[in-house]
Amino acid sequence: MSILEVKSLQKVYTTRFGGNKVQALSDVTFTVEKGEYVAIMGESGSGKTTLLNILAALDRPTAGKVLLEGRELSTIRESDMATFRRENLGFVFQEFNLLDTFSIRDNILLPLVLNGAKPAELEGKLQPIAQRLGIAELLAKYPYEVSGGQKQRTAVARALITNPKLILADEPTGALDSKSTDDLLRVFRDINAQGQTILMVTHSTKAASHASRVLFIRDGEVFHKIYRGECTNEQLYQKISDTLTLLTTGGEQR
Amino acid sequence: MRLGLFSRLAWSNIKKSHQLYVPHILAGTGLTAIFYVMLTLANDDRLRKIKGGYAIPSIMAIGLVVVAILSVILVLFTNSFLMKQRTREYGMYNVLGMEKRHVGMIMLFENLISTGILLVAGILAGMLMYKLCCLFICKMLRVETILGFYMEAEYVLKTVGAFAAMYLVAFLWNCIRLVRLRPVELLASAGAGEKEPKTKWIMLLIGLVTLGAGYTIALTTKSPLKAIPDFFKAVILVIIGTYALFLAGSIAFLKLLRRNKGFYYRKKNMIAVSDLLYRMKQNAVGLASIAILATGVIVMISTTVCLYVGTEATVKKYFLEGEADMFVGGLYLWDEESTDSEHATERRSGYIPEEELRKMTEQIVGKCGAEVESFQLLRFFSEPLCFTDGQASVVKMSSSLTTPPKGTIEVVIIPLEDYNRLCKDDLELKENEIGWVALSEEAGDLTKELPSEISFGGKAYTLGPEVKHIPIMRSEAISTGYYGLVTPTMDDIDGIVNDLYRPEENHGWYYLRTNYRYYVKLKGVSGMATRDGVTDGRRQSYYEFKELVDDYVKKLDTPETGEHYEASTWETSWELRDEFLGMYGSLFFLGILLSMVFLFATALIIYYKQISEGYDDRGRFQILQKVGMTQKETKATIGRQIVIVFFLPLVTAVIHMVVAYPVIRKLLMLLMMPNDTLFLLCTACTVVAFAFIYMIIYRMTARTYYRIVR
Repeated sequence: MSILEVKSLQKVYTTRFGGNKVQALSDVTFTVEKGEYVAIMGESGSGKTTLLNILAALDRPTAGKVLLEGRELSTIRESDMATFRRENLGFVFQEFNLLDTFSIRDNILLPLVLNGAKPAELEGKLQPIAQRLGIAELLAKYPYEVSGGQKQRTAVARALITNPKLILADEPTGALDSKSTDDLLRVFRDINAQGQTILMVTHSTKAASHASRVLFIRDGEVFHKIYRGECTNEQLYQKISDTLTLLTTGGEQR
Repeated sequence: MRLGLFSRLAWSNIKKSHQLYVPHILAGTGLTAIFYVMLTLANDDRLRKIKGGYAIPSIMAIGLVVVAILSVILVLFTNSFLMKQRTREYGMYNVLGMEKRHVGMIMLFENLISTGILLVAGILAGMLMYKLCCLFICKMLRVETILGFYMEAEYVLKTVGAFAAMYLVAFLWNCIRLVRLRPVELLASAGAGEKEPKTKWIMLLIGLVTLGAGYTIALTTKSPLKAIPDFFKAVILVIIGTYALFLAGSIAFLKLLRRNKGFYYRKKNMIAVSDLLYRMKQNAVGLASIAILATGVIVMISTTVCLYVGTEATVKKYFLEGEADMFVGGLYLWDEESTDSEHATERRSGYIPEEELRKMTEQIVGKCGAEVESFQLLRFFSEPLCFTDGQASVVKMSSSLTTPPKGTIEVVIIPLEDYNRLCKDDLELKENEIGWVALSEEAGDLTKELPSEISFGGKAYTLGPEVKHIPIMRSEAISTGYYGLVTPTMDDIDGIVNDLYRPEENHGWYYLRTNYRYYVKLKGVSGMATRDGVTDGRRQSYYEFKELVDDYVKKLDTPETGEHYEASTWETSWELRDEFLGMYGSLFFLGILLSMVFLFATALIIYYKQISEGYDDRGRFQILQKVGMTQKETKATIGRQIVIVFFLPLVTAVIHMVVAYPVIRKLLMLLMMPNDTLFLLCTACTVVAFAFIYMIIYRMTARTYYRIVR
């Protein structure tokens, strides 16, 4: 069963006073199955961010539909939207977006608390996730006291703690060094192996090579896709970089 | 050429950072203006000459010191805030290739321009304000307006000099910071998070102890006279306590909340508690300062307003609740050579017979063009006495500041005749009975304090009925109970005085202790109501009257019989009113000026707090939304914190005022303020008015805050 269905999504930005129109997404259609790990690649300006914002229900499409488990996002009332997002989606950002004023523990617990969870339940949910992500020792520390990789794992823990249907990751490795990147990708693979659906937007070929499927976006459309099939990470990496080369050099003559 | 470039750059910088410079310049202008006004008021001889104006220069001179100190603090505070906000910009200039001395030149020009503007504006505003102040003072003292424009180059120069020096110091301070500036560090450190505040246990303890001690002193002070030193002790303790508790107490309290998991991990509390923790770390000093400034404003305004508004009531208390317009009083002198205690009445001399006094007063008042309507005689003996087993003895006190021995009460004794006449009563007393009444707060039921039979060394008396009142004004200076006693006859008082002061014990001047007063009501002149006192607009000063009285009394002396008269007091209601109006009016005026400075300081602190918090909160605001809060929820959370931070100093100030209320009330008693309801009313009104002004300041600054956050 597909968890996310995106049907001929269109987004047109109109500059103020209705002058110029900019087509950010012209026609995007794809589905994500439960337990899948999808990477979306594309250059700056290709419409990645717009797509992610629409999927995250932060922005509304001009035309087309987004269905999460069969429920259309545009039918959700504005007032219920924040709750809907908190309960169904988990976010991981490039710049972590952790609150300086919270300890690692509190940063992770924040979405649960916002959902109105009972204080007694919190620790029981926190511990397994913190163990899995290897940050159990850091819970009492503050974001400025830990490394970038640890911060990002904290952000992942925060995204996971509400058991979201879908994790949306926006350039999660963008601010990390190579070792932390490897760590994080391993974390993503592990949680995916345990059934968590992940949708990741990225520039990085390496990050994308861990996914089970890679979508390429250009000029507001899905331009190409690659399935992992039986490939290893290295083989998939090769395929992706070939595609990217094609995209930037001979793409027009497809 | 170069200079032109620097000055242009400086000017455009000021315009660009107007959010920072406008309050900086406004505050400077206000401080300069107030300083100039006070300096000129302290030296304007025209004020000294107006009725009641004698107190203004000396009171302003005291105020000037306070304003000068506050100005230095505020100038340095605004400067350091300005510098902190702009350091990045200066660092950027440095990175872009300017040498530090060039940056220094830009800073110099920025300072010259802003200081120049605020000095010129300040002096102009000061001159205008001075004119207004003169009008206000004249109105307040109810005298004719002083016309004309008063300006002394000396005071302008002194003011400009003082403030130019302050800003120079601030500039030099900035230069030192500039030299130490490492632009690379500056750029790198911008994104670093702030450390979690630590609980400072020792400071918390100090805060609790000092605040507790201050409050205890304020609440337990019994005697008005001790209230003066106690009040200042309490003020200092409470100031220390407030700072320490805002710094350490707030953080300890919030951490305690955070440790309580059931409370902390709730939607409403989690973000608020941890954000407040950081807010308090950054703003504790500012908030504590606001709390103290607010308390200062409330205390100053409520007391001075109360004194000023209560002038009329206070004056009335001196003159039989307005039944009389003036009184003349004196002491009965004693023939020191006679030691015959059995002939007490004979030893009395100097008692001007009522007829004689009537004649004298009528003559003198007639000279001033008025007529006497009635006389009322009040004879009284007033002394602190120590009772042991109902036996009274004289308490010798070298000064009124000495603590009297335990069991001391102060009494004023009047004869039944005078009591019935003045209090319009028809009390009857048995031969050895004494009526009594409690006249001060500390005084309770006298029949419980003393055994039923008392004596002053000779005749024994029993405590009789409680009487209505004794119309004598007395300062609340003595820390014991104050009672009025009524004896059956005047001879009883003479007997008591004789028994108490046996000549062989050498009581010195205590010998002359029985007083008399003739209260005089003038015909056709309701002296209490009209400001101009005696008719035809001629008001007689105390000294003029006294001279006339002394001349007259001297003529009565008859050297051959050794008789000597003395009328030592001559008090008129209008003279006293002038005196009170001058004193209380000047104090009130000083209260207003100082409050303005305090409000400036408060506004500045709040404004700068809003700006610096605004930038911090913007980031937090965005993250919270990304994590899944709606914009509405986020705004509500942050709004709630702002309100807590806003009300904290106000609530603190009100609590301080409530605790200080009893001790301030006692202080006011020393200044003859007898009306409790009036003071309560003044305090309540001041608190409301202050809260209102504070709210306006907050609203205005909050607008800047929301503009930044959005």
